[in-house]
Amino acid sequence: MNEDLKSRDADREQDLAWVGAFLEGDRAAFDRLVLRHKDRVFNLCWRLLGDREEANEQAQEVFVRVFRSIKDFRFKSSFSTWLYAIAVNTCRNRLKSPEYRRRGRMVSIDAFQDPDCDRAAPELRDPSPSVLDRMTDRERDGLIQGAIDSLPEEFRTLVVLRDIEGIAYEEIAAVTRLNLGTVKSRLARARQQLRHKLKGLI
Amino acid sequence: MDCTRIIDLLPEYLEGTLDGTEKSRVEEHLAGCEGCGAELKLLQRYFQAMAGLERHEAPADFLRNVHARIEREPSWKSLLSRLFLPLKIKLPLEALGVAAAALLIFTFYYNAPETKVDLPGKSPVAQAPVTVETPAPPGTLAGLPASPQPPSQAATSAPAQDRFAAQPDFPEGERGAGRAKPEAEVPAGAAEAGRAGPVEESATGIPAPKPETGPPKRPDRSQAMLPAPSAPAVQRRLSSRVVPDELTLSVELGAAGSRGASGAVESAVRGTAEDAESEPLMRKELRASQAAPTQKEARGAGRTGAGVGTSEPAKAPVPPGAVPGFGHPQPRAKAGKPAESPAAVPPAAPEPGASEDLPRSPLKPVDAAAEVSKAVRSCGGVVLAEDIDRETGLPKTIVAEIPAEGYSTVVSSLERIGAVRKRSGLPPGVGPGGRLRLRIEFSTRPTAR
Repeated sequence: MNEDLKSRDADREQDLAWVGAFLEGDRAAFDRLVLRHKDRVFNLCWRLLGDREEANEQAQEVFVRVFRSIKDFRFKSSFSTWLYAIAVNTCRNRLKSPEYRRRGRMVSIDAFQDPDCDRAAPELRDPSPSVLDRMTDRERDGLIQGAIDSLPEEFRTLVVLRDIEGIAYEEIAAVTRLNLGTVKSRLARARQQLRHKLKGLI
Repeated sequence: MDCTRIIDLLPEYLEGTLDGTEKSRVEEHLAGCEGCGAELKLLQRYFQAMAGLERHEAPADFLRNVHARIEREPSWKSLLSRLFLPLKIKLPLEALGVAAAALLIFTFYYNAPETKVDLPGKSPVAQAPVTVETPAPPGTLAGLPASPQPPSQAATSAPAQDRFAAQPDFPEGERGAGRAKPEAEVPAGAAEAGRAGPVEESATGIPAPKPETGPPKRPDRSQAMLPAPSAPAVQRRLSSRVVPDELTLSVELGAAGSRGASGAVESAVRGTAEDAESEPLMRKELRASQAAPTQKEARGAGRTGAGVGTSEPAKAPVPPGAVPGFGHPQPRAKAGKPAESPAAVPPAAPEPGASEDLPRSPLKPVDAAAEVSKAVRSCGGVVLAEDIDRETGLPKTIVAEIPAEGYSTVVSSLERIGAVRKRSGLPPGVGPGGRLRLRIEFSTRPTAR
């Protein structure tokens, strides 16, 4: 436990050092920041947007924004908190965009036509344990992702940040600019809704 | 601790973030509560499912694509989006609907057609002469009865033409297609009555009539919508805007119009019982509003009329420079004593050289507009628009702007044309020195014989 904390602190210090180097003109420091955080940001975008292509586009957009606005970083928080805040806002804007909504409707229709699609609504599947037992990991993943996608945006963000990415409550509060109590209460309701949607599956 | 509190703490219990005291309380409760124990197992499976989700990794060319986007998208685009980011406003559909409705109302408000004035052209009343004073050239006897003139002929009569003779620059396109061509020769008296000054270009590029006398006219946006004056029988577009200080008067042509002018005048059109009721009402209002200035103004008007041998004071002040006998208020009673019987009051402010006891010549229907124009100009006002019936030459609507002091002048003139009915009250706040918009609507009706 202590080693994990020490490792995290070391990573934070390293992030801040790279940010400082990048601000001084070291482009390689930016690349190192991208390489360290790209998978986590990509996964976060995937879970928030529910689509690989969308996740790839928006994760790239997140790092482009970091590149453009790194001078606004005040070193008052960890770089990862600042990075997650940019990622959450980028995905939130994308979720509200008309293009995404049109695309989302088209994907939903295709989901019923493509037997291999992993985004079918979980309510339409038989949730009996016998069926679930025969599910592959990909099918199970698709069902859970579909349930996450059906959550309201503010609930979805909290569930992904906490229950999938494992980010601390305090850091979530900083990323979402909510107070800690609101984060916990909303997260409790989000879990309740998600468990209700996944009833019989988990 | 009850079950609700324990269930709230279960996530943090599973995550290991509870302090020692709370953790021991939860464990004590779970030992004796099956329901909370079952909830703990379900929550544990939920966390395991979420944690067991596949972690997606970014593509191998992710960094290269990021570099490509940074190089591809110029920095000014980011700067631009940042500049306009605070101005991004989400307009809800309801607000859009309200804006669209407001636009529709605005459009309708400014393009609404003028209210039609019922003026049947074939009505016998419309064709009958009206016993209203006709402007006569100096040196002639006024008041000689004229023969009835059909409206078709009346459309080209001189008094109607002179209103437009002073505005020769009116574009041809605005004139009526079937109108009569104005004659070049205009009688002297009519020319004097129609003297409206040269046409000057307003700021909007639209010719605006210049008042002969009176204070400079205040800027009025509605004038920009009005065409310039033109030839007789031209139907001019009227502003459909509702002016807050606008006063609407309804004049029934030929109905009881001559009673106040002269009892000896033969009127082909008699007023109905309704007209007889409306006129005293009108006078009562006039007396109430002008009781104070009547005596003072009467003295001045008496001096003005002394040259022509009249002893009758005027009811309204005469603006300096105005022509006596043309459009000035015709006194109907002695100063301070309103006439109880209009027939007993001789006409005042006669034409130069005319005898005050002689009956006035009956006013042709088309002369009504000229009479009103004279009255308006004489009190320092200006005729903003006229709506003349093309076929009959009868006025339908006249819009004028006058000083508040000239209200009685115009009303007196209208009373000699026909029965005046006030259709809206004097706007509040219009006092001496103010200006008043008058909308005079003419109508004819079958005579009740």
